[in-house]
Amino acid sequence: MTKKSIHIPILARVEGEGALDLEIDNHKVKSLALQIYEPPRFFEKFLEGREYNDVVDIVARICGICPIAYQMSASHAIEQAFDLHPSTWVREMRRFIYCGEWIQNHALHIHILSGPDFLGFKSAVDMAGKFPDVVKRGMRLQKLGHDILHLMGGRSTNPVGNCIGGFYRAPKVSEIKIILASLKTHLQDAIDVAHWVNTLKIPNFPQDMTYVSLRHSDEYPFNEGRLVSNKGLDIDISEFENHFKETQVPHSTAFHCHVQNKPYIVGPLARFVLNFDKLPKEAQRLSEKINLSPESKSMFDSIKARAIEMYFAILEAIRICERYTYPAESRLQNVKPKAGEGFGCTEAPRGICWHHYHMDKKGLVKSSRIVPPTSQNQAYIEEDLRLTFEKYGCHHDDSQLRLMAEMVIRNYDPCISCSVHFLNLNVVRHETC
Amino acid sequence: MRHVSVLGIGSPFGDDQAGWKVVEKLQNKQWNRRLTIKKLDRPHLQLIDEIKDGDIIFIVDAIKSGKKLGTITRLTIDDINSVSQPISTHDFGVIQSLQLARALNQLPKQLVLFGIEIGEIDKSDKISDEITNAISMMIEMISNELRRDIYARI
Repeated sequence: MTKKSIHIPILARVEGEGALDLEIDNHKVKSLALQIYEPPRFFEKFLEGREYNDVVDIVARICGICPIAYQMSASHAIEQAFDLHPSTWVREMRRFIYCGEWIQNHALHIHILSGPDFLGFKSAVDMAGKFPDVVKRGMRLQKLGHDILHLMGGRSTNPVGNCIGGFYRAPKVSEIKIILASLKTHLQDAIDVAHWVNTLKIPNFPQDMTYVSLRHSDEYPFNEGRLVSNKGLDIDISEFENHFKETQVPHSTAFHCHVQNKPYIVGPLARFVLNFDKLPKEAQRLSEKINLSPESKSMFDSIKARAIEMYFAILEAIRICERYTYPAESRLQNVKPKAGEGFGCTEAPRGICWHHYHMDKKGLVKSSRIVPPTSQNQAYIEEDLRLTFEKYGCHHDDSQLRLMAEMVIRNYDPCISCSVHFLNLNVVRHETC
Repeated sequence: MRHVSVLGIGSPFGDDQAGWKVVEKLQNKQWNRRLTIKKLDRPHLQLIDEIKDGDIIFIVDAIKSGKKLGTITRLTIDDINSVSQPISTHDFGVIQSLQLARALNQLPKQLVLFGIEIGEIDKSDKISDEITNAISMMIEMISNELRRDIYARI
C-alpha cells in the first residue's frame, strides 16, 4: 500500500482560511473532511449583556466584507423583540444599502477570487497582468458598492450608520443624485461582466441539490420573506430551529447544518433558482443570454448567478434612488426596549444569515444565536467535493485535485474571515500494488 | 514637498491591532510636514484606492512570516513583489493588494511596508507584551524616517 500526502499552506482566494483532509482508496474517495473556523460562535457569547444599539455595531465586526448582512439580521430581530415597525423609507434604504454590499461582494468574487480559476491563472495578480481592463472593471464595480455603503453607513468597513429603527443619518437628495449618476454609468459594466462570465470555460457537474433561500411575495429578497427550498420547504423564519438541525462534527469547530436530514445550499444560485420570477425582466433576459437557467443544478453556475445579482442590485439601487425623497425622520424616535424574543433572517451575499435574540426589559441581550451562511453550506461543500471528485476522477495528479477542490469550495465563496488557521489540503492515497 | 501618508492596517482583535496602535501614537505627535495618518480596518482591495494617488506611502501592519514574535520587518515594493506567499494577517491581504496595484500600474511613487510579527490572534482586545514593545520600537523607527531629510526635501 502506498500513501501520499500534499500540504498546501493556504487556500488561495477564499476569505479567511480552513483545512481539507482527503483520503483516496484505489482512485475513489474514501473520506473527506473540511474544517473551517467559525468566528460567529464567539460573538454569540460576547453579545450577552450588550445594549441593543451596541449589538448593531458589534455584529458588523463578525465579517469584514459583509457587515450589512449581520447588521440587518440583528436589527430585524431586535425590532421584532421590541415590537418596532420602521418606516417605509427605512425599509427601502435598507434594501439600498444591501444592494451596495451585494455589488461589492459579487464584484470581488467574480473578478478577484473565482474568475482567475476559469482562465487558468493562479491569482488575480497574474490575471491583471494579462487582462488589466477586466480587473479594473471589477474594482470599479467594487468601489461602487463601497460608495453606497459609505453613503448610508458612514464607511464601508464596520458601517456605523445603521441603528435599531433605521439610520442615524439620511442622505441629502444631492448625494443621492450623485450616486444615481454613478449607478447608471456602471450599468453597462455589469452587463459586460455577465457576458464576460459567459465566455469562461466553466465545468458542469450537475447534482441533486437542496436550495434554500428567502422568498418574498413582491420582490427579490434581501431583508424579508419566508424560508423556502426547492424540496417543498415553506416556513416562517421563526421556525428555523424546528426544521434546520445543527450538529457538531469531530473534524471542525463549525457545525454542520441539515434541513429535512439533508445538507443544503444557500447563496446566489439558490436565490436565483428560487426567485427567478421576482427578478426584473431585464435581469431575466440577461440570464437567458448568458445561458443561466432557473433549473440549474450545477454549483459552477454560481459565478453567473453572482453576475446577474450584481446587475439586479444596480437596477434595484437605481429604482430606489429615482424614487428617493428626504424623510421627516431617518429612524424611529423614542425606541422603547422591552423583554421579548425576535428573529431576523436576511440574504447576505453568500446566503441566508439567521439571527435569534432574547432581550430583557432594559434592552440588553440575554442570549443570541447566529447562523451564518458559510456554516450552513459546509455540509454540502463536503458532499459536493465528494461528488465532484467522483465525476472528475481521483486519478488526476495532486495539483489538479488541489485546484479542483479549491474551485469547488470557491463556488460557495465561503466567508471565513478573521480566522487565523491556514488551509491544509492533506491527500492520503491508498493504492493496491 | 511631497505628501506622506501613514496607513495603519488592523482589525479589532488582539495583536492584529498593532498597525492601529502605531498610527494612534503617531497621530498624537507634532509634524512639520504634510502628513496624513489613517487607520484602516481590513481594507482588502480598497487599499489600492487609498494608495494609488499617493506620493510616499508608509503602511504598518501585523504580519506572520515565521519570525520571532515582535520582529519588525521593513519591506519596499521590490521586496513585496518577491513575496510568493501572503504574509499579512488579512487575507486578500495587504501583500496581494499591493501586488495587484503594481500589475495595474496603480502604485504610489514610493511605498514602504512596516510589519510587526505576531502569533495567534486573540479574539479579545488585549495586546501581548512582545507586541506592545514592538509597537514602541516601530513608532520610533517611523518617526525617525519621517524626520529624515530625504523625505523633507522631496
